Amino acid sequence: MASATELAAQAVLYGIVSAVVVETLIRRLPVPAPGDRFRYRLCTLILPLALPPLFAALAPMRATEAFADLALFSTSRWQRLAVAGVGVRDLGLATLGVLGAALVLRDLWRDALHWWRDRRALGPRGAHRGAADPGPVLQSEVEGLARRMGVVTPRVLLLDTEAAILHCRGVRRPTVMVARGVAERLAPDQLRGALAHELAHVAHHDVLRGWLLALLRAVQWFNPVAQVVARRAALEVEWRADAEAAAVTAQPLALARALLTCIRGRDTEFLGLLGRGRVAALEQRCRRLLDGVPARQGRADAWSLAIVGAGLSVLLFFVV
Amino acid sequence: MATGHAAATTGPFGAVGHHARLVGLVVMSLALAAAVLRTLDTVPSWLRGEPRGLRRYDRLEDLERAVHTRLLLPAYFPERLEYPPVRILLAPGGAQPSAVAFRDRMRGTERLVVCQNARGDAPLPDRLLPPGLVLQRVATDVNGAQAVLTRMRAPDTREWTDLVWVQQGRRVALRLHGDDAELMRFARSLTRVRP
Repeated sequence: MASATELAAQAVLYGIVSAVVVETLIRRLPVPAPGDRFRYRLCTLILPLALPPLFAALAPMRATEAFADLALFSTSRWQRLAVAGVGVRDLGLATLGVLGAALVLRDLWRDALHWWRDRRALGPRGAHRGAADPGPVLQSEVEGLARRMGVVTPRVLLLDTEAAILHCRGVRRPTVMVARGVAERLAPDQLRGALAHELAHVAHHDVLRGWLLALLRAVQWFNPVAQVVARRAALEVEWRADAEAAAVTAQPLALARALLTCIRGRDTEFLGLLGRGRVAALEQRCRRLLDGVPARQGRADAWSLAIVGAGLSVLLFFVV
Repeated sequence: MATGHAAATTGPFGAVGHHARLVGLVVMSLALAAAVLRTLDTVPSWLRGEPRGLRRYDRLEDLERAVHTRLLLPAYFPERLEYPPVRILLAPGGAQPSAVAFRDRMRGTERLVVCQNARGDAPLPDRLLPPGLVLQRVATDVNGAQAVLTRMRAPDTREWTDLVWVQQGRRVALRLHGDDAELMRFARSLTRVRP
């Protein structure tokens, strides 16, 4: 029976191999639609978690030394190679574990800072209790957009704060939270674009996807490749929402302006270095909006995912 | 902007063409990944100076655990041989051939190599007992079993003697850098009991 260290080493290795293969496919096919790329990347995140225990349960002979001779790659061979009395496999796993944990903590810290700033901006009563009716103009804007996008109109809450807060939350009952500061600061076309972006998140259940990504990241905290892939997948979700909002409103420039206004109002100075990554990601989103990247789903259907998943499973079966 | 993308991915053969292209790319990238993994897998053996496919063990007990049987080792074990062995190797294959090398305590060089199959009388692989130039080959017997004694010489003019026979259903070979009388003594004392 494989030990926990062996399973962890396999999970990291599977993550690296899956990521390399999937990234090659994304670039070579190519896969321009962010929604498709998200699905492929989700494969990269799920396979390293699912396959090691599945293989261990279904094919226990993989743990034997005879199988290691058949295998394409055996982590135990690297473990027998020692540096200062420690096996190279364990050494590599520890190094990658520290790196993975650092990436998790970095994002956790950044999100905690944001949460704390929003909390302070909303006052001691918190977001939901400080929320008010959005008013007829905002409500009708959301309803109009929802009709055009084929989405059930979500609940809209207006937060009484100057902070630039605009996001959707809630898995079972999606809610679009709009801060008064945002509603006043954005021009009507910009606000329309920003609301369409949030409605695109509602349409694709992106809050649930966000939690799923967070869960996959937390479980694979020791795997830096999974952290990078998950962040990239989260970005794809945003890109898709941007592209769909731009397609619905036909005003990508207005949405780009809205994004810039929001990030300025967001005050990322307090994040220091952590904020730079967010600003860079925003810049990338604006560029994509102006370049006109497609929103619609391409061909990452169940068959495509099954082909990639089956191929990777066969390869990884021979990696122990 | 969405229309351009749809046209680009649909192509003349539609979904079938896309899936065929996908399969081709998946096979190609998997083959490339397999080649890279296989290459990386040879690195530890290369760094440890082991031929590819041979597995090195630090203790005899580990090797015995791997082959699920006790090994035959000489009960005659003179002082000049160093214990534990300097080299314990296992080659791949159903017969699970292994080699255990003991060093000469005074000279510091390998003196005795005990090579054997864990089961069966299949020929022992050259990787465990590299052949040399055969000088003489004579038939003999070890505890009543037919055996072949072969004197050999390496390119560096070092000479040794190999003795090969089948004992308890396993093919066994002893290689000694020493005289034949001592080699026969080692062979006759071969047992599963530890020296």
